[in-house]
Amino acid sequence: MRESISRRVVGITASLLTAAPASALACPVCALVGPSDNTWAYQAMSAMLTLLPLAMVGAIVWWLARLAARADTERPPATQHLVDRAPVGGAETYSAVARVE
Amino acid sequence: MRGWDGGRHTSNRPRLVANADTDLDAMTAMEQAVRVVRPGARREVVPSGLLGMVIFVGTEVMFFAGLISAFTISKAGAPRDAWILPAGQVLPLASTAVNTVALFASGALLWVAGRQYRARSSSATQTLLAATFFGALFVMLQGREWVGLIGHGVTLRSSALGAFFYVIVGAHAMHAMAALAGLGVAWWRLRAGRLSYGFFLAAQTFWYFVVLIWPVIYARVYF
Repeated sequence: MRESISRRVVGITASLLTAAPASALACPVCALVGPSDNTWAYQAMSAMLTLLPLAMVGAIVWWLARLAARADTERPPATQHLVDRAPVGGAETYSAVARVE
Repeated sequence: MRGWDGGRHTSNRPRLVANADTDLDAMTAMEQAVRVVRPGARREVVPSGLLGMVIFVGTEVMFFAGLISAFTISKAGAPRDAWILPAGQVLPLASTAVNTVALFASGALLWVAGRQYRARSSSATQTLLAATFFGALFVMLQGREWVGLIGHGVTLRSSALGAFFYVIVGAHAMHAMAALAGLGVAWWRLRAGRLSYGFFLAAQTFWYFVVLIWPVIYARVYF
């Protein structure tokens, strides 16, 4: 019974706020109040602060992926056959050469 | 991301694996096999110093975005007659434009220095010094303007515009001084023949950030 009343209260409140969104402003000093309408500033800056980090992270990932792809394509063809016939015991091979050095 | 030392062989690791620009022609087939098939070998596609600086610059971009956001919203919500400096003062648009030219000149010179460094590192010494000089000139001219404004009673507490002006432009000036220190260290190491390419790229990236964020600040705060 108590749960049912709580659900109704939440439902009615959500419906009212959806019908009158100005009443749902969480910040008392936000847009639509005061001597001038600064709604555009809130919306523009919210969009900027949301999109800017996504754009930067995306740009860095794209940049690194491009560098990695370029590093792959710039592998000298003369060594490609060595990759194709790479020995299973590569680690041992490396150790052997390191000792020689 | 190991092994990047700007072409200088400073590592104690086996030479074949530690240096990305080893001459492949001079390597034996065995050596090439080691280089290519070593299990778990990591490739370096970008110097670690540069990648770290790029991530740091990303956080600084968000720092300035927050400041400019606060400025824009406050300005949009303030009455027009309240968004002024005390005693009828105005922000020095013209002289700051001259300072901006000095900053852009510094950025252009650093770009030239980068090209010279890639061609022959020692040839970039003078250009790098000139870029640092123009950057320092920008900071000094900005400081002179601040002294004038403070003399006319424009302080952090005089008005909301004054507070935003000093916080945003001051934050940029602090970044400029830190970047200039980086350029100075780069110049010193270059003169001594100890400058790694990774350090140079990191210092260059930080200074480009200082140069490129300034027009945004200038256009938003001064106009």
